[in-house]
Amino acid sequence: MADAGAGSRGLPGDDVLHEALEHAVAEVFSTMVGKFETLAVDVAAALPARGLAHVHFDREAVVEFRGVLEGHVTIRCNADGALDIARGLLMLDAGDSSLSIEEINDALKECANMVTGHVKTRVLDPLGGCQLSVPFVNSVATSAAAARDRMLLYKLQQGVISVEIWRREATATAA
Amino acid sequence: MNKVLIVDDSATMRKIITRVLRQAEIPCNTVLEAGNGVEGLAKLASDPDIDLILSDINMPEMNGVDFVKAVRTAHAKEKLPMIMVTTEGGEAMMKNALDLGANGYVTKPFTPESIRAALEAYLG
Repeated sequence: MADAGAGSRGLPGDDVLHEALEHAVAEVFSTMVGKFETLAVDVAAALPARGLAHVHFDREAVVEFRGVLEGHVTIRCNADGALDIARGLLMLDAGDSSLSIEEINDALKECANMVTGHVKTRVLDPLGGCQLSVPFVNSVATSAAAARDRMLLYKLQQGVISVEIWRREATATAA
Repeated sequence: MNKVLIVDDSATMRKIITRVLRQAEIPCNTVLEAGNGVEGLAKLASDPDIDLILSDINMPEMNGVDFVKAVRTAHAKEKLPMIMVTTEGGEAMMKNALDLGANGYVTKPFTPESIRAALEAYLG
Protein backbone atom coordinates (compact mmCIF):
# COMPACT_ATOMS: atom_id res chain seq x y z
CA MET A 1 0.00 0.00 0.00
CA ALA A 2 1.15 3.53 -0.65
CA ASP A 3 0.38 7.06 0.40
CA ALA A 4 0.30 6.92 4.16
CA GLY A 5 -0.96 10.50 4.22
CA ALA A 6 -4.30 9.64 2.69
CA GLY A 7 -5.99 9.79 6.05
CA SER A 8 -5.16 13.44 6.45
CA ARG A 9 -7.14 14.18 3.25
CA GLY A 10 -10.30 12.50 4.49
CA LEU A 11 -9.54 9.17 2.85
CA PRO A 12 -8.97 6.03 4.88
CA GLY A 13 -5.34 5.46 5.68
CA ASP A 14 -3.43 2.22 5.53
CA ASP A 15 -4.37 1.28 9.08
CA VAL A 16 -8.10 1.65 8.38
CA LEU A 17 -7.92 -0.39 5.17
CA HIS A 18 -5.83 -3.05 6.83
CA GLU A 19 -8.18 -3.31 9.78
CA ALA A 20 -11.19 -3.58 7.46
CA LEU A 21 -9.43 -6.33 5.50
CA GLU A 22 -8.61 -8.26 8.65
CA HIS A 23 -12.23 -7.95 9.80
CA ALA A 24 -13.50 -9.06 6.38
CA VAL A 25 -11.30 -12.17 6.36
CA ALA A 26 -12.44 -13.11 9.85
CA GLU A 27 -16.10 -12.65 8.92
CA VAL A 28 -15.95 -14.58 5.63
CA PHE A 29 -13.76 -17.40 6.87
CA SER A 30 -15.52 -17.95 10.17
CA THR A 31 -18.93 -17.96 8.49
CA MET A 32 -18.31 -19.90 5.30
CA VAL A 33 -14.83 -21.38 4.99
CA GLY A 34 -14.12 -22.96 8.34
CA LYS A 35 -11.06 -23.35 10.51
CA PHE A 36 -8.45 -20.65 10.13
CA GLU A 37 -5.62 -19.39 12.26
CA THR A 38 -4.06 -15.97 12.01
CA LEU A 39 -0.34 -16.50 11.59
CA ALA A 40 0.84 -12.97 11.15
CA VAL A 41 -0.13 -9.42 10.45
CA ASP A 42 3.51 -8.42 10.20
CA VAL A 43 4.85 -11.08 7.92
CA ALA A 44 8.39 -9.86 7.47
CA ALA A 45 8.97 -10.08 11.19
CA ALA A 46 7.01 -13.25 11.77
CA LEU A 47 8.04 -15.57 8.95
CA PRO A 48 11.43 -16.70 10.21
CA ALA A 49 10.12 -17.12 13.73
CA ARG A 50 7.18 -19.23 12.54
CA GLY A 51 9.26 -21.34 10.14
CA LEU A 52 7.16 -20.19 7.22
CA ALA A 53 9.77 -18.72 4.92
CA HIS A 54 9.58 -21.83 2.74
CA VAL A 55 5.86 -21.45 1.95
CA HIS A 56 5.26 -20.91 -1.77
CA PHE A 57 2.18 -19.57 -3.51
CA ASP A 58 1.22 -20.62 -7.03
CA ARG A 59 -1.99 -18.69 -7.64
CA GLU A 60 -3.81 -15.53 -6.66
CA ALA A 61 -7.41 -14.39 -6.82
CA VAL A 62 -7.87 -10.67 -7.39
CA VAL A 63 -10.81 -8.27 -7.15
CA GLU A 64 -10.24 -4.68 -8.22
CA PHE A 65 -12.13 -1.74 -6.73
CA ARG A 66 -12.73 1.60 -8.39
CA GLY A 67 -14.08 4.80 -6.91
CA VAL A 68 -12.55 7.54 -4.80
CA LEU A 69 -9.93 4.95 -3.97
CA GLU A 70 -8.74 2.45 -6.55
CA GLY A 71 -6.84 -0.71 -5.94
CA HIS A 72 -7.31 -4.39 -5.44
CA VAL A 73 -7.61 -7.16 -2.88
CA THR A 74 -5.50 -10.25 -3.51
CA ILE A 75 -5.63 -13.69 -1.95
CA ARG A 76 -2.53 -15.75 -2.64
CA CYS A 77 -2.22 -19.44 -1.89
CA ASN A 78 -0.80 -22.75 -2.93
CA ALA A 79 -2.79 -25.80 -4.02
CA ASP A 80 -3.50 -26.88 -0.45
CA GLY A 81 -4.73 -23.46 0.56
CA ALA A 82 -6.99 -23.18 -2.49
CA LEU A 83 -8.38 -26.65 -1.81
CA ASP A 84 -9.06 -25.74 1.82
CA ILE A 85 -11.07 -22.72 0.70
CA ALA A 86 -13.00 -24.67 -1.92
CA ARG A 87 -13.84 -27.54 0.45
CA GLY A 88 -14.88 -25.09 3.14
CA LEU A 89 -17.15 -23.03 0.92
CA LEU A 90 -18.73 -26.10 -0.66
CA MET A 91 -19.15 -27.83 2.70
CA LEU A 92 -17.10 -30.86 1.67
CA ASP A 93 -15.13 -33.19 3.93
CA ALA A 94 -11.45 -32.49 4.44
CA GLY A 95 -10.54 -35.63 2.49
CA ASP A 96 -12.76 -34.89 -0.51
CA SER A 97 -10.70 -34.93 -3.73
CA SER A 98 -13.49 -34.69 -6.25
CA LEU A 99 -13.03 -31.04 -7.14
CA SER A 100 -11.64 -29.96 -10.50
CA ILE A 101 -9.11 -27.14 -10.89
CA GLU A 102 -11.88 -24.98 -12.35
CA GLU A 103 -14.08 -25.59 -9.32
CA ILE A 104 -11.24 -24.83 -6.93
CA ASN A 105 -10.29 -21.61 -8.71
CA ASP A 106 -13.93 -20.54 -8.93
CA ALA A 107 -14.24 -21.00 -5.17
CA LEU A 108 -11.08 -18.95 -4.66
CA LYS A 109 -12.57 -16.17 -6.78
CA GLU A 110 -15.81 -16.24 -4.79
CA CYS A 111 -13.86 -16.04 -1.57
CA ALA A 112 -11.94 -12.98 -2.83
CA ASN A 113 -15.24 -11.48 -3.98
CA MET A 114 -16.82 -11.83 -0.54
CA VAL A 115 -13.77 -10.46 1.28
CA THR A 116 -13.58 -7.45 -1.04
CA GLY A 117 -17.32 -6.90 -0.83
CA HIS A 118 -17.06 -6.77 2.93
CA VAL A 119 -14.26 -4.18 2.74
CA LYS A 120 -16.33 -2.23 0.24
CA THR A 121 -19.32 -2.10 2.54
CA ARG A 122 -17.31 -1.09 5.60
CA VAL A 123 -14.82 1.36 4.17
CA LEU A 124 -15.09 2.05 0.43
CA ASP A 125 -18.83 2.63 -0.11
CA PRO A 126 -19.09 5.42 2.47
CA LEU A 127 -16.60 7.41 0.38
CA GLY A 128 -18.93 7.44 -2.63
CA GLY A 129 -19.65 5.15 -5.54
CA CYS A 130 -17.39 2.12 -5.50
CA GLN A 131 -17.44 -0.55 -8.18
CA LEU A 132 -15.92 -4.02 -7.87
CA SER A 133 -14.51 -5.96 -10.80
CA VAL A 134 -15.42 -9.52 -11.58
CA PRO A 135 -12.87 -11.63 -9.66
CA PHE A 136 -10.09 -13.32 -11.62
CA VAL A 137 -7.31 -15.82 -10.91
CA ASN A 138 -3.66 -15.49 -12.00
CA SER A 139 -0.88 -18.04 -11.84
CA VAL A 140 2.03 -16.73 -9.80
CA ALA A 141 5.28 -18.08 -8.46
CA THR A 142 6.21 -16.36 -5.25
CA SER A 143 6.96 -17.22 -1.69
CA ALA A 144 5.82 -15.95 1.65
CA ALA A 145 9.41 -14.92 2.22
CA ALA A 146 8.96 -12.25 -0.45
CA ALA A 147 6.07 -10.76 1.45
CA ARG A 148 5.88 -7.13 2.25
CA ASP A 149 5.14 -5.88 5.71
CA ARG A 150 1.63 -6.23 7.04
CA MET A 151 0.40 -8.82 4.60
CA LEU A 152 -2.14 -10.97 6.42
CA LEU A 153 -1.13 -14.60 6.64
CA TYR A 154 -3.43 -17.45 7.66
CA LYS A 155 -3.12 -21.17 8.22
CA LEU A 156 -6.14 -23.16 7.06
CA GLN A 157 -6.70 -26.91 7.39
CA GLN A 158 -3.65 -27.84 5.34
CA GLY A 159 -2.57 -24.80 3.41
CA VAL A 160 -1.37 -21.27 4.02
CA ILE A 161 -2.82 -18.18 2.35
CA SER A 162 -1.99 -14.50 2.28
CA VAL A 163 -4.46 -11.65 1.93
CA GLU A 164 -3.43 -8.16 0.86
CA ILE A 165 -5.05 -4.86 -0.05
CA TRP A 166 -3.30 -2.53 -2.45
CA ARG A 167 -4.56 0.90 -3.29
CA ARG A 168 -3.83 3.92 -5.36
CA GLU A 169 -5.77 7.15 -5.46
CA ALA A 170 -8.16 7.54 -8.38
CA THR A 171 -6.78 9.80 -11.09
CA ALA A 172 -10.13 10.92 -12.51
CA THR A 173 -12.03 13.62 -10.63
CA ALA A 174 -15.62 14.78 -10.96
CA ALA A 175 -16.21 18.04 -12.81
CA MET B 1 -43.01 -28.95 -3.36
CA ASN B 2 -41.28 -25.86 -4.68
CA LYS B 3 -39.15 -24.83 -7.59
CA VAL B 4 -36.32 -22.35 -6.92
CA LEU B 5 -34.21 -20.42 -9.45
CA ILE B 6 -30.68 -19.39 -8.39
CA VAL B 7 -29.15 -16.57 -10.44
CA ASP B 8 -25.45 -15.99 -9.77
CA ASP B 9 -22.40 -15.73 -12.01
CA SER B 10 -20.37 -17.78 -9.55
CA ALA B 11 -20.77 -21.52 -10.05
CA THR B 12 -19.42 -21.95 -6.53
CA MET B 13 -22.14 -19.78 -5.03
CA ARG B 14 -24.83 -21.61 -7.01
CA LYS B 15 -23.50 -24.91 -5.63
CA ILE B 16 -23.36 -23.58 -2.07
CA ILE B 17 -26.94 -22.36 -2.19
CA THR B 18 -28.09 -25.58 -3.85
CA ARG B 19 -26.47 -27.59 -1.04
CA VAL B 20 -28.16 -25.43 1.57
CA LEU B 21 -31.50 -25.91 -0.15
CA ARG B 22 -31.01 -29.66 -0.37
CA GLN B 23 -30.11 -29.84 3.32
CA ALA B 24 -32.83 -27.48 4.48
CA GLU B 25 -35.93 -28.93 5.99
CA ILE B 26 -38.20 -27.10 3.61
CA PRO B 27 -40.05 -28.60 0.66
CA CYS B 28 -37.92 -27.85 -2.39
CA ASN B 29 -37.69 -30.45 -5.10
CA THR B 30 -36.30 -28.55 -8.06
CA VAL B 31 -33.39 -26.11 -8.23
CA LEU B 32 -32.68 -24.30 -11.49
CA GLU B 33 -29.55 -22.23 -12.15
CA ALA B 34 -28.68 -19.22 -14.28
CA GLY B 35 -25.39 -17.31 -14.60
CA ASN B 36 -26.83 -13.80 -14.98
CA GLY B 37 -30.05 -11.86 -15.38
CA VAL B 38 -30.42 -12.60 -19.08
CA GLU B 39 -30.15 -16.33 -18.46
CA GLY B 40 -32.49 -15.94 -15.51
CA LEU B 41 -35.18 -14.36 -17.67
CA ALA B 42 -34.79 -17.16 -20.21
CA LYS B 43 -35.24 -19.77 -17.48
CA LEU B 44 -38.30 -17.95 -16.22
CA ALA B 45 -39.78 -17.82 -19.72
CA SER B 46 -39.22 -21.53 -20.33
CA ASP B 47 -40.33 -22.58 -16.84
CA PRO B 48 -43.13 -20.34 -15.56
CA ASP B 49 -43.78 -22.54 -12.52
CA ILE B 50 -40.80 -21.18 -10.60
CA ASP B 51 -41.86 -20.37 -7.03
CA LEU B 52 -38.96 -18.24 -5.79
CA ILE B 53 -35.82 -16.55 -7.12
CA LEU B 54 -32.53 -16.10 -5.28
CA SER B 55 -30.37 -13.61 -7.16
CA ASP B 56 -26.94 -12.05 -6.92
CA ILE B 57 -26.60 -8.33 -7.72
CA ASN B 58 -23.09 -7.94 -9.18
CA MET B 59 -23.27 -10.01 -12.37
CA PRO B 60 -22.15 -9.53 -16.01
CA GLU B 61 -24.61 -9.12 -18.90
CA MET B 62 -27.54 -8.10 -16.70
CA ASN B 63 -27.05 -7.28 -13.03
CA GLY B 64 -29.44 -8.19 -10.25
CA VAL B 65 -31.09 -4.78 -10.01
CA ASP B 66 -31.97 -4.78 -13.73
CA PHE B 67 -33.06 -8.40 -13.38
CA VAL B 68 -35.53 -7.50 -10.60
CA LYS B 69 -36.86 -4.67 -12.73
CA ALA B 70 -37.36 -6.99 -15.72
CA VAL B 71 -39.00 -9.75 -13.70
CA ARG B 72 -41.45 -7.35 -12.11
CA THR B 73 -42.81 -6.25 -15.48
CA ALA B 74 -44.50 -9.66 -15.74
CA HIS B 75 -44.53 -11.18 -12.24
CA ALA B 76 -46.08 -9.55 -9.20
CA LYS B 77 -44.12 -9.34 -5.96
CA GLU B 78 -46.74 -11.40 -4.15
CA LYS B 79 -46.74 -14.17 -6.78
CA LEU B 80 -43.01 -14.61 -7.31
CA PRO B 81 -40.78 -13.72 -4.34
CA MET B 82 -37.24 -12.53 -5.13
CA ILE B 83 -34.47 -12.61 -2.53
CA MET B 84 -31.17 -10.92 -3.28
CA VAL B 85 -28.06 -12.80 -2.14
CA THR B 86 -25.09 -10.54 -2.51
CA THR B 87 -21.90 -9.07 -1.14
CA GLU B 88 -23.28 -5.66 -2.05
CA GLY B 89 -24.35 -4.83 1.46
CA GLY B 90 -24.53 -1.11 0.81
CA GLU B 91 -27.82 0.43 1.83
CA ALA B 92 -28.32 2.30 -1.43
CA MET B 93 -27.96 -0.83 -3.55
CA MET B 94 -30.31 -2.82 -1.35
CA LYS B 95 -32.86 -0.02 -1.20
CA ASN B 96 -32.79 0.18 -4.99
CA ALA B 97 -33.42 -3.55 -5.34
CA LEU B 98 -36.21 -3.48 -2.76
CA ASP B 99 -37.82 -0.42 -4.35
CA LEU B 100 -37.84 -2.22 -7.70
CA GLY B 101 -39.61 -5.24 -6.26
CA ALA B 102 -37.21 -7.53 -4.44
CA ASN B 103 -38.86 -9.06 -1.39
CA GLY B 104 -35.77 -9.31 0.81
CA TYR B 105 -32.05 -9.95 0.87
CA VAL B 106 -29.31 -12.04 2.42
CA THR B 107 -25.77 -10.69 2.62
CA LYS B 108 -22.70 -12.82 1.86
CA PRO B 109 -21.07 -14.32 3.81
CA PHE B 110 -24.16 -16.11 5.04
CA THR B 111 -24.93 -19.07 7.23
CA PRO B 112 -27.19 -21.89 6.00
CA GLU B 113 -29.65 -20.76 8.68
CA SER B 114 -29.99 -17.28 7.19
CA ILE B 115 -30.83 -18.76 3.77
CA ARG B 116 -33.32 -21.15 5.34
CA ALA B 117 -34.97 -18.34 7.27
CA ALA B 118 -35.37 -16.25 4.13
CA LEU B 119 -36.83 -19.17 2.21
CA GLU B 120 -39.18 -20.23 4.95
CA ALA B 121 -40.67 -16.76 4.95
CA TYR B 122 -41.80 -17.14 1.35
CA LEU B 123 -42.11 -20.83 0.52
CA GLY B 124 -45.04 -22.88 1.64
